[in-house]
Amino acid sequence: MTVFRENKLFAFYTGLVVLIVLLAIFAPYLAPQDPMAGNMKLVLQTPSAEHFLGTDKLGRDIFSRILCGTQISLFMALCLVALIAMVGTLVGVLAGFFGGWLETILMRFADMMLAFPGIVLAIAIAGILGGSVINTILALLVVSWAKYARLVRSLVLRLRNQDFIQAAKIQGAKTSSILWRHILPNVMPMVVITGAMDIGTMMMEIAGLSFLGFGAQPPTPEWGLMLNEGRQYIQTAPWLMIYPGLAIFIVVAIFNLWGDSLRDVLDPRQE
Amino acid sequence: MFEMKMFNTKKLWKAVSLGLCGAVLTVMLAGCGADNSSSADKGVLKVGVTNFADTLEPTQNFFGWVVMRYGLGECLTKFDDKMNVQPWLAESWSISDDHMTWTFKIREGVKFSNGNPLTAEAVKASIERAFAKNNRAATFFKYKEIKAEGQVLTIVTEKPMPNMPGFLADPLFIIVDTSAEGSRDFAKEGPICTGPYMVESFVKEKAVMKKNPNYWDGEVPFETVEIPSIDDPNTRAMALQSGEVDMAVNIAAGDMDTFRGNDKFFVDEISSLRTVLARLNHKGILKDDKVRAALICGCDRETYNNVLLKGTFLPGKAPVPPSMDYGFDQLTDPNAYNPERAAKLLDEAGWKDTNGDGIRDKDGQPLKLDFVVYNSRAELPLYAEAVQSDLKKLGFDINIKTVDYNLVDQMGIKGEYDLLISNITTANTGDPEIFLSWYWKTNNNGDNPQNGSGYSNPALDAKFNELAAEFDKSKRRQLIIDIQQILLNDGAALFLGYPQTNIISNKVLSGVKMYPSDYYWITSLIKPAK
Amino acid sequence: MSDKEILLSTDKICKEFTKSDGMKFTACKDVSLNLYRGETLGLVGESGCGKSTFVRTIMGLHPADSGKIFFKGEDITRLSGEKRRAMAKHIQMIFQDPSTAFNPKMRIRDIICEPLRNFAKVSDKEAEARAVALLEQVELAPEIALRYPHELSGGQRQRVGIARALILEPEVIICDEATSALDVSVQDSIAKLLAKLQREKGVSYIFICHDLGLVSLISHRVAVMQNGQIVEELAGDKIAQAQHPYTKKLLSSVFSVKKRA
Repeated sequence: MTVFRENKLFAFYTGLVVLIVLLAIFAPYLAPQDPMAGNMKLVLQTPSAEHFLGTDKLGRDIFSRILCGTQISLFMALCLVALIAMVGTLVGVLAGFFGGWLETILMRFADMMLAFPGIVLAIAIAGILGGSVINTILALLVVSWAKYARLVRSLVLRLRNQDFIQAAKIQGAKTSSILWRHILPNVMPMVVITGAMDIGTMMMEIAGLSFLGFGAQPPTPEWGLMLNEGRQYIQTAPWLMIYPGLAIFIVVAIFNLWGDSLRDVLDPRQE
Repeated sequence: MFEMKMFNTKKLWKAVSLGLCGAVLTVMLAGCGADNSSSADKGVLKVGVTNFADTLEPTQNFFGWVVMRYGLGECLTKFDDKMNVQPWLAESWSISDDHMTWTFKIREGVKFSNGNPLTAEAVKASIERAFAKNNRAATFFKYKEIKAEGQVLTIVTEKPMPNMPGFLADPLFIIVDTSAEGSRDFAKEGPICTGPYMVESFVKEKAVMKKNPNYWDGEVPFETVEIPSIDDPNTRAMALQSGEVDMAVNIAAGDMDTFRGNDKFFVDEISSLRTVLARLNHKGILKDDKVRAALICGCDRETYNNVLLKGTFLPGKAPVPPSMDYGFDQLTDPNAYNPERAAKLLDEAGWKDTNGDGIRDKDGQPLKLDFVVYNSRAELPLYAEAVQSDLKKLGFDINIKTVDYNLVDQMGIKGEYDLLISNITTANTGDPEIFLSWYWKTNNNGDNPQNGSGYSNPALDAKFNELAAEFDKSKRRQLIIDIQQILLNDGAALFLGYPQTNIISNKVLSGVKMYPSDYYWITSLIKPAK
Repeated sequence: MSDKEILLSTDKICKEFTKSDGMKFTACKDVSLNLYRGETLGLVGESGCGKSTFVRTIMGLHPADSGKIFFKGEDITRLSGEKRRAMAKHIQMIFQDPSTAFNPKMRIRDIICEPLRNFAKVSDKEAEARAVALLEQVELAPEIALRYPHELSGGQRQRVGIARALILEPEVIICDEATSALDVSVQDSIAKLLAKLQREKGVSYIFICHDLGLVSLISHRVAVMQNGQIVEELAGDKIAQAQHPYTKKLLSSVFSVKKRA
């Protein structure tokens, strides 16, 4: 807890993140209306006491939809980052520790994925498999794991020749023990920091794909999808785009700033 | 560490731009005015369209529509703004007493854009080419023989075809110079035809046309026509507003207010011949009459059209739109909006929510339906979501599947849907007979491929057979009314609404007009306003 | 001394490396040495002469190109798998750099007990007990068990290294420049600790060092290595009587040579 006292900025951002997470968890109870239930007589209403942020094209309460969208955006992003980190770490550890042809194959593959324009590949994958939340996560997973693999591999290469790894071998440790006890714990902090910093980016990518029609499908209250749906009414009912856009901006910014300060807090202790 | 901080700033920037894009665009557009000097004064016409054609081969798919819309191809006949058949490349025609032989007089002095004369022989070759290349031609009419002599074309049909002149107005029968096919790739470079404009270059996203020096019907006003395909309706509206194009077709309901009442633009909005409907698959869960009836009467079509689409569409009821006189008001819809009745029907059919998840189920199967939708027309996803929302209250789980427009036709033929949204022109031959029989006459082993829904009613088929041979106008009208009533009683499909159709032009142009039949967009009548 | 048991013996060990520019570099050539029970064998030479490569070859970290290694008479040159793992109970090593010899994320208790855990399950409570016992042997306070490596001084860490090397009760411990990174006064205390442990447990050391003075102080015998080859072997207290020119050169560059008491 001294961490928070010493780093006021980090404490502040963590507070905001916690707030967002709580919003996400309790969204269904906090939302004043059912995000899916539209009163078609009250279509495209401007913000009012009844509907804080107005209603959308089917008469649904935008405020409720944005709140419930927090749940989706956050959990999808967390899921995605966790998966990417796991896959990337696995590949990076295998490549870095065992070297040889395994490393060559894995890292050439990773290089390919890195060289490929991410959004294009994600669109192609989502386009073939169809638009849905799961397919978006899959598509973005395929495109994004390589960064972690590269990172973890270079960390492992540095670690591999350190004395304590040699010591572990001398002490009769099996390869699996070395990987589990020595390599992973020293690799994880960097992975966690990178992951935390990526939450914001992944949220944006998910929203982006949904905006293009490849991610969440109607009637899901996902922010990117809401942006897309609001395009038609940008001149007559701009609040349909403004509020989801603001939501994305604010949440992504908070997560990015938090990840940044997290790295500042953790890094000095690394060496 | 320093570059990491820079990297994060970049991400922040991305967040800023995406999030504020909505607000920024609004501000921008509010203050944005159109370009005052237009390219129309310089001999270039710019038209914003939505184009589904991958090629300009008039016999492929429905691509002939685009060949005609772009001012390239013409037929023997055409429709006027009252849907009456008028002469075009055929000057006049007559029918024999036995109703089997049609004689067309081909207009004198007409040349193809390459200078070749338009003779009856050329017409014959073109029509035979259409029949050879696309099976759909035979669903219009079948001929025993076609004879050509000078400027006289004779077609002997297998059966009496009352609507023959109307059939020949279909873009499938655009008259092309078949002799030019050896040295020219019609699909990529466009066919040689008789229209005011010919192709300079074509890709799906943009066509550039140039003046046809051999045009037969008067002066061609523009040297060049640029036709970008802007599929997204809002982007199209914005292009028109900003002056990027001088005219645009099918502006969406959400944008109409920007142009109505704006002095700079001329809005031509008319009742169209189109119906927006959801075809229903009669082979899956919707095989059950009660479920279909419940689905249809669970949809509040009045609200969809008057409120969601701001009255730019008329509420759906019957297959044929009220813009044509086929008994719209007298027809009764047993499945008018009645959600209580819908719930009762579903209960009677055995669909109940046994596990409390909000979705009805029966024998372990949930009431889940796939609604296939395409979104090149703005109202289609809106209808789909409104239907999804209304039916959710009744315990249906509607899953919206968005696909590319080009896949829809095949999916319809193969029946790969539970509901399939369609915006269909009902009287492409001036008469709804073809439309009705294409989708609802029984499909015996592929003889009626457009009907992939599995719907079949022998009483209906009998009416169709009668209609096919009936030449008397009032008798035809009554038969069409009967056919519609049967379809309504059977709950054959969900008729959602009837679009107004529009074409909007900057007042630097004159002569821009919307026709009910939706084939004629770029004509030689469009010229710079003086 | 010649009738003491030979624990470890190497016969003409050769090891070559290929450098990044393709040139071959001979690290060890025909290195033959014997290590007796309960004795300290000093191994000296300048940096890069092959001392570390040699001992790592004994440990099995590099395979020897040719030659043999015997432990208690058994040929262990080409051991692999489970048999090689089992050698950990007999031969252990203490590293030069106390700042890299330990996993920064592990507590001292776990660092010391890890060798045990490689062969049997040990509960946390038992681990702590064993660790504290060993910490006592290396003259460290019991609280150290719950600390992290970066919280200890260089000398304390080196004692932990010794504790870790001891826990499996090996017969041979190789000290690879174990004192070279420490302050001079600390070096002295570590050397004394090593000597004490040898008296108590009878463990043999191979003591690698480039400081001739320190080596002569604690080694029973000294082997001098130059460019991968052993050039001279002497009794520890007779270093001053070295014959080989290289050894003489090493001697002359030392400021003083301490005589054993």
